[in-house]
Amino acid sequence: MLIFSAYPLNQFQNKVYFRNVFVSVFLLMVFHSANIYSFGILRAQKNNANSIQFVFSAFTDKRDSIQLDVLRFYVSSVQIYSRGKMIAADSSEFYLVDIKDSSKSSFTLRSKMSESFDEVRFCIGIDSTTSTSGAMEGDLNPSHQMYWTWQSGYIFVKLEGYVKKKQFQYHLGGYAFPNRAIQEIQFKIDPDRELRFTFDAHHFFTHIPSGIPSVVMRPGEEAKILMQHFAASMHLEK
Amino acid sequence: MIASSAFMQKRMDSPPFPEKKYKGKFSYPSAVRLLGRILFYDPILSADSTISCASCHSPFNAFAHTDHARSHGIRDSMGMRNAPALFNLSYHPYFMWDGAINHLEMQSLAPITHPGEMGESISHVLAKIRRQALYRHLFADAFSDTSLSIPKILKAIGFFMAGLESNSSRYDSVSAGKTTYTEQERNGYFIFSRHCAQCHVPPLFSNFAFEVNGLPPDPTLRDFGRMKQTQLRRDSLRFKVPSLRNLDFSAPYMHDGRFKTLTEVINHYNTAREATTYVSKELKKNMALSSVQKTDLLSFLLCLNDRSFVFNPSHQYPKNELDSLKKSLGLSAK
Repeated sequence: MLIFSAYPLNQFQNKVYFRNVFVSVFLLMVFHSANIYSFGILRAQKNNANSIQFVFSAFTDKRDSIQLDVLRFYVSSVQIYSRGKMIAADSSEFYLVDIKDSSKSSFTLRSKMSESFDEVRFCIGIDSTTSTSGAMEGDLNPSHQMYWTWQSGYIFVKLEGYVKKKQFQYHLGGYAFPNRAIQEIQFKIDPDRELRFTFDAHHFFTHIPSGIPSVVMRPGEEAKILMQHFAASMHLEK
Repeated sequence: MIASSAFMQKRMDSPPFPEKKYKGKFSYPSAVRLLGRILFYDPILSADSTISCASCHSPFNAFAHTDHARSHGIRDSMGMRNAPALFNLSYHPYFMWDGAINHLEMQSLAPITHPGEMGESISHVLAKIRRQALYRHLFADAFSDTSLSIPKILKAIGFFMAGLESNSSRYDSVSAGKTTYTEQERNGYFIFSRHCAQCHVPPLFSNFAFEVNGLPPDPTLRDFGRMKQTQLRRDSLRFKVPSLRNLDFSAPYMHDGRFKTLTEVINHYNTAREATTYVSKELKKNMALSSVQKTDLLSFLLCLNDRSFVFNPSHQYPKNELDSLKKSLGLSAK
């Protein structure tokens, strides 16, 4: 479940909002439909005038047939918009989100913002310039096992587990034409109310285009299709 | 005669070296280079501590692997390809015969982690290195902080490899006006310019493109080259054009080391191919050289050897530097 709330809050409203979100999350965890497998909660809260916290978390519905063992992905090029104008951006940071690791499931965008925002954009993946810039530290360190060693390039999304007891392994990436697989995602936000975005994992695994095998571990046409499908499986709840 | 000489001289003028693609910048470059050099020669990079980079990239063979058609790694596992010679790497846009690696710093990741080469995980390499006082000292010297990391390992090895520069061959001396070719070498130069220089472009003697040179694929290896990376059929059997410098030291030749001698290489390009054999457009016609012309061509190719590079002690196993360091740190000489 992706819950995105973004509107100016004073200190008291912040606390109320925070409480409401946690209650919502808890209720969702308890009563969530078996047909929707949610992997993450994206909460963008305006904690103060200078930062936005992006929080990803995962929970599973044990009634579902999907078992997710690994879900890690890179988030980059985070941009904040207000009325079509970019008011904050962070093109130099790359975040490795690991749903299974609470220390790696959130990051904070620090940027001064003098107005409320109504749109967030970010990329799933690493751009080609960074992909060809050599060895890097931080979340881009090859020690995180998100870098192919037999050929250059970051693994943008690592998704492993079982669907109906059949194993799948998706290591998706590709920075160079014609296998460029980076995805840009945009969320339009109505600043007057809370909006909910859902990653429908059930949809992802049951509607994978035909011909895509259960193991894809290299850049190519299949990886591109799966990356598009990964991004497209996030939608706005009405 | 004078006009003809001027014309000949112009034809022989060497283009300048291009801008380097890799420009490693470090606060303490000598220390980074020494660290990289020590790592290059240290079998600690391999799972069973038997194989170092130098096991397949010997300095006396222009950092190629002589007498081995294909490189072998730990537990005598045999690889698919001939270890390429290492020099002038700062000018290369891609590495490996199929261009799999896009940056010099990331290149060593591939052989370190390949199960048929060094068979090690890079994280385990880091753990092993952290336990050694010598390396803790070297990293502190090179990067002026005591934290060791995988990117630092890769940067150090990459920077050492970038320092392997070969530009003092007889060809370079002629280009600089310090000496002149013999008549045989000059004839060979013109044959080279006509038949080879489209792909083996001076002064690096490679355009670093991926070409099909008409070699039939080995039926057991089934190595289709660049296609493995791009998955495009048009890249089938394309391999990176190697530099022709230091050929005297870097036999055998071709991506799978199938030719032991330069004569075999020249004969391959000199022989008419089946009309149905696909080759890059530069190779549509065979050279059709006479025996004398082949000898002239070979004579010119030998002008590209750079003994000062191959026998440069600063590229070789750093015995003196290691002994000195260990003594200063109070470590055992072994």
